[in-house]
Amino acid sequence: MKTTIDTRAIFAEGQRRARQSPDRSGRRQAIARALSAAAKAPARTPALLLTLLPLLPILGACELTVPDYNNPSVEDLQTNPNSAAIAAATQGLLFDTRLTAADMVQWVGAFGREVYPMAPTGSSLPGSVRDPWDQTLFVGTQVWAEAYRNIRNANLLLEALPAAELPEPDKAAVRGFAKTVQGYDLLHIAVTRRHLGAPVAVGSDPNDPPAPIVSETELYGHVIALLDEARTDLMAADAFPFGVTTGLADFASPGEFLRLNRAIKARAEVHRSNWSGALQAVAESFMDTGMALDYGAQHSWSVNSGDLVNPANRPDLLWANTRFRREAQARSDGSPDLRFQTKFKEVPAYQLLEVSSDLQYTLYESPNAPFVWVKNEELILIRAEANLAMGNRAAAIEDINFIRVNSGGLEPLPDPWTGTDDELLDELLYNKRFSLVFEWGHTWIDMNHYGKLLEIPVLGPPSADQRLHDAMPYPLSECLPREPDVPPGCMTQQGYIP
Amino acid sequence: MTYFNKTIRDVILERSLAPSTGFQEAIFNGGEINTWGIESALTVVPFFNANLQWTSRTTFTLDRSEVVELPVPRFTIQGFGYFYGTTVAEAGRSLTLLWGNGPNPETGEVGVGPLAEGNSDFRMGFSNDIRVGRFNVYSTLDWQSGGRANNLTQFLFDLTRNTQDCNTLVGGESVCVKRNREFPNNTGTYFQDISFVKLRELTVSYDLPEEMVNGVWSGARHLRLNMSGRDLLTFTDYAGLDPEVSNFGSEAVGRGVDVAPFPPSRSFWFSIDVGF
Repeated sequence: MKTTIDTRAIFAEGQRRARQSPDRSGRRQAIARALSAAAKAPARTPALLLTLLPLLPILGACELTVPDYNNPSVEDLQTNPNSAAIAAATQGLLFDTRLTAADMVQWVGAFGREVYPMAPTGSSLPGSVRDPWDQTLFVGTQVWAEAYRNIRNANLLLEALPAAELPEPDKAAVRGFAKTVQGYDLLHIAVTRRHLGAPVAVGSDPNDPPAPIVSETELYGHVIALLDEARTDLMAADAFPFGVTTGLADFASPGEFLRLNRAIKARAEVHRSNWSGALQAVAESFMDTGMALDYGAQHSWSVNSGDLVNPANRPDLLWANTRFRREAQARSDGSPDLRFQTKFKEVPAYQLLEVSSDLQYTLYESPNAPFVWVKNEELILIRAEANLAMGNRAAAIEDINFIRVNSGGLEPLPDPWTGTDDELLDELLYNKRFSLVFEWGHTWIDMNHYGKLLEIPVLGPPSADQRLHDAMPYPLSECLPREPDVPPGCMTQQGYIP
Repeated sequence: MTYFNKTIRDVILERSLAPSTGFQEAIFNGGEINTWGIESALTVVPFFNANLQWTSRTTFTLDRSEVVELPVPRFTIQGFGYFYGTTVAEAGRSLTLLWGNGPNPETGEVGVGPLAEGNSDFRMGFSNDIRVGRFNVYSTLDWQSGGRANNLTQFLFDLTRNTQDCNTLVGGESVCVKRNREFPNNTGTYFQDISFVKLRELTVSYDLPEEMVNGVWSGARHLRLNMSGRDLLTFTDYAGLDPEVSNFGSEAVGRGVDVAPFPPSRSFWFSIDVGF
């Protein structure tokens, strides 16, 4: 089945609150009581009642409790995991994983100073991120809470699956899909919390003490394990028993989706410096130098009822770092890098405090504009990055040149390359920055990974007000239940003064 | 005079959970909250004769609340986290305390704790009803003493350097830049006293002479003209728009947060009462 549908909050929204399950037997008793009370009431028109008598058997057969179709309950999925419920729950995962991505674009983007959220009111960059950063600010909560919620939703789905009325290959397809999304969600936690670590055991009783914090290495281990388990499942599947969004049109079967799974793995592997693993994952992914550079998977947004619009479509709030104009390399005709020309636009200068910008992005100019999930261009750069780290300079230069020429319209690097490896790394990071800007906060993640955080040029005078942070703290609600032994992620992050 | 002492057991609580459980909040029964207070009123009639009738009424109220017992770890109730100030449910503490980052009174080290009491010490009301001949004057004066609100509206004005006192320099630094700078280490920077005296209501009414009423309309027994105004005068040191601020609407816990809410408006009323 290869259908294309709108993403909706079919299942995920129902999980927003861990409410007590509606007591169905209690409701039935209440109805029974009401009926018997009505029967005891003095009947003024017995004749009318008598005429209604033949209807009684019909009433008796009627199920008077109706499920809440807008907010399907967890119990419905657990007690009656029919194919529709399973499909809805699986699609719900797609719906929710976008919310995590939204924080990546805006807030992780801001951490790496790709984007400056500047609003005269509210939690904008010059107002809050610049300071020593504690766990009680608004920023970065979605890339924690939404990711974990989605992981739990996937766990519920996986628990309900064995009893589902689906053939085994279909179950494997759902498992492979759900675990891939889980791995992707957990990867967000790993790249943002870094050395602070994070919990991985999700889906327990909400009244239990919060799960222990594991190290960054273990976090990545879980990400990779989930993606690899998903691989096994996807290989045992034939078709997806659910529809996917337009953004996944090229990955709508288990075989195709596996290539997206490998692409996510490739990204995770470079961030944990497992270079050979990254090369292998890229080879199994959808990377193809014969395809368009933007070929890949996307998170869809829309203005349709029940769906969400692209949250980064905010020309009133989001401004670009002017470093990109300064750094854009010249093409042979003297004009700047094509990526600068197509992704940025000049606007009247806007100033908030000491920060001023006259550059905005052209990437999300419609509420329907999709987010890039993973694209061909990134995978080619990942291959270059892994080859460079492994000392395969020629292979790295070949891929860098491919991107320089085809994406930036630039000349290839001088042949032979006479610079140092570190200069080549800077060239690679330049290309990653321009190719992937405003897509997932890549700049911050990459600069952190290479210990180059303080090389990020900030707007305005470098000062204590412009601190750069190397990890996101946890949200406050994560910290209070962990008292008194609060983990480092709950402590104020002083940041580094550029 | 009334003294009340109310203890609620098995309160219906809504607490936020560690998001890493995959859940965000839980509604449950538990805990014990105690509220006590005094409500008293004194009515005096200094004059009462055919020409002058004067009734004066004075009220005095205060209330205090405390979480006696809480079966779960402490949790925030309303607000924007410690950085911007919040209320917290913790056993042994008042529910209306405002929490935030602040220097430890003993060590000076910056940490999290309760910084100020949001609830007022007491409130008093003075109302007078004076009737002279056909005129009637009624007024109510409200006095609130103590209590703090978190004036984040001023924080936002400071952030964009639009506060009135931004040109005032202390040691070469604008006072609003200074407040902004101190804020991350002291949420209390924008806690402000919400004591006030308000002329809550003033009403003047006049009863038309009966012969005049009958002359206009024989069916009417009496006709009264009323002119009244509400929230006419406010005397307060609070820098925001109104000391009776509540960003989240009318609630018992979580008042006193001021992030550019719409203030109460002054209103004027004119009415004609006709009796048949």
